[in-house]
Amino acid sequence: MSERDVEKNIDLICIDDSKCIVCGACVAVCPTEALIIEGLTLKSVPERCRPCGQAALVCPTGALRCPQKGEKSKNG
Amino acid sequence: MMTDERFDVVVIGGGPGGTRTASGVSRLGLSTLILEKRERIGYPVRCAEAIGPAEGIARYIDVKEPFVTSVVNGLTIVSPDGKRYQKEMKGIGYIVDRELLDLHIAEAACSNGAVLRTGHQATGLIREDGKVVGVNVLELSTRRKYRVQSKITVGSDGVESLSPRWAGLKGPTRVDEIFSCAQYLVECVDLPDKYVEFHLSSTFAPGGYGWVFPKGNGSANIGVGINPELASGLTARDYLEKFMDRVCPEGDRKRFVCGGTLLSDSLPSLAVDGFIAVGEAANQNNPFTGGGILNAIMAGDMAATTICRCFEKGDFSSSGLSTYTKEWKRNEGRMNKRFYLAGKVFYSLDDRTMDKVLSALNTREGLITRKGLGSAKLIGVLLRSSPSLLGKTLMKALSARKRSRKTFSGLNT
Ligand SMILES: Cc1cc2nc3c(=O)[nH]c(=O)nc-3n(C[C@H](O)[C@H](O)[C@H](O)COP(=O)(O)OP(=O)(O)OC[C@H]3O[C@@H](n4cnc5c(N)ncnc54)[C@H](O)[C@@H]3O)c2cc1C
Ligand code: SF4
Repeated sequence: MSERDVEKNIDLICIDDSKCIVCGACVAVCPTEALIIEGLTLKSVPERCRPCGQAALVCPTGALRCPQKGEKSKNG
Repeated sequence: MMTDERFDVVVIGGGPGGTRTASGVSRLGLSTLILEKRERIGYPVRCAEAIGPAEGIARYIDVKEPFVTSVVNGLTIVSPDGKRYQKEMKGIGYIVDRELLDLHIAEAACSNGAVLRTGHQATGLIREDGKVVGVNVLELSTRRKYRVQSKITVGSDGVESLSPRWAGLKGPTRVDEIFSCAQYLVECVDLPDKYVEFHLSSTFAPGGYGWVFPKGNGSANIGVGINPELASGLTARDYLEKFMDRVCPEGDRKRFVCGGTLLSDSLPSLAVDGFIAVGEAANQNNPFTGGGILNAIMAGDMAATTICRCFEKGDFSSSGLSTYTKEWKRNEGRMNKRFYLAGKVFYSLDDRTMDKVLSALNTREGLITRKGLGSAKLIGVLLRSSPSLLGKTLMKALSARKRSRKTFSGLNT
């Protein structure tokens, strides 16, 4: 599943493509490898996300939205 | 269909750490494959392009090459209260064109016989009896998957490195151990010509610093690296805009760069059976400045020497490869440990204490020399300026490390 689907469907990790310049900082801190860079595209693996909010915190451009623990995603 | 290929050594990542390792092992006749997921070596640039000290670099690279864009003749540190501390040191380092530098090192590896495949991404390690014996690869343009078997796999996949995590050498990076960075390449600016500038202030770069690195011909890399935990909801890019307003509001912004650079202590071990980690993937950056180009090159040479010895002996076990860990620890690793501790304290100072420390540092002869920053002396000054803070910060850092190890093992079961 791509991050575009994620945004629409389960809304755990949202990546704003217009801001992301695929630098990899979020990948370094994501504890579950829920974010990976393929070539020059950042992708998410939502089933691995255990919402901790770390990746969004380090993003230099504000391209990521990851809910924190306890914070509900839109779909529940 | 999955096909298998065989190489003596497969290198994941075509940055300076990986290509330098490849250069060393292929020079001695080992068949070597470099996998780089990006289409172009060195592009896009994720670097402020400063490299020093000059004497250190000269041991590895011929600095007459075209990748040097300007020579650094000194540095200026600007404290939160605006005081400027300057030190002249002719030819102390360089600002490079990072794309050309990376290409130069990669070309040297290829001319020694290494095979370079760009657009090919490592997607996992192959194991047999617990040993790493190769890599799963995805060719991005065709989506073809294949396997490469190797005696040694080198994980040099940079800040976003997953290979040392796959090998079990490290966990995720802690948020307070990464500088979140944003930078513009700026043109036609009224800025210093040959001095690099470091700006310390919680207003422009909380828990980090702002930099102005002149590239020559009226251009400069201007950026900030911040501790994301202290950013109070703002991004590195937001801080960069504030910093630009301060140092160069009129500058023509040519290129935006962002990224993370690690400030972690070196990994306790750099190898497992059949696998070795190099460069930023192995937390080998300077954990005070975040700089990692020269460290990656040095580590690449050390790794190549060890790998070649292992081939002579036919021993690819972690104990055979441990010479590399030992050599790193004896040299750069020992210094990085001190820089790690110094950085933990230095970047947690509030602005007022920072002003005091910087003025104390200024009177401390020999702190910044042609060999670089004296980590032991820096710790000495910090100890005298704020002994209680040093104790508290170290305790906090150590217990956070323990906590993050537990979290990491919990998440990966
Ligand atoms: C904004 C910024 C400014 C910096 N400024 C400086 C500076 O002024 N001076 C300095 O010394 N250092 C600086 N650094 C740090 C420096 O850029 C790195 O430490 C250095 O590039 C590390 O080299 P490396 O070879 O270990 O990794 P990298 O240069 O990052 O190379 C790793 C390579 O691996 C590739 N890769 C990753 N995963 C895979 C995979 N699965 N398969 C195939 N390929 C893969 C990547 O695409 C990349 O090309 C800066 C960093 C940032 C972010
Ligand atoms: S940290 Fe931000 S800009 Fe960098 S890859 Fe992740 S989402 Fe993209």
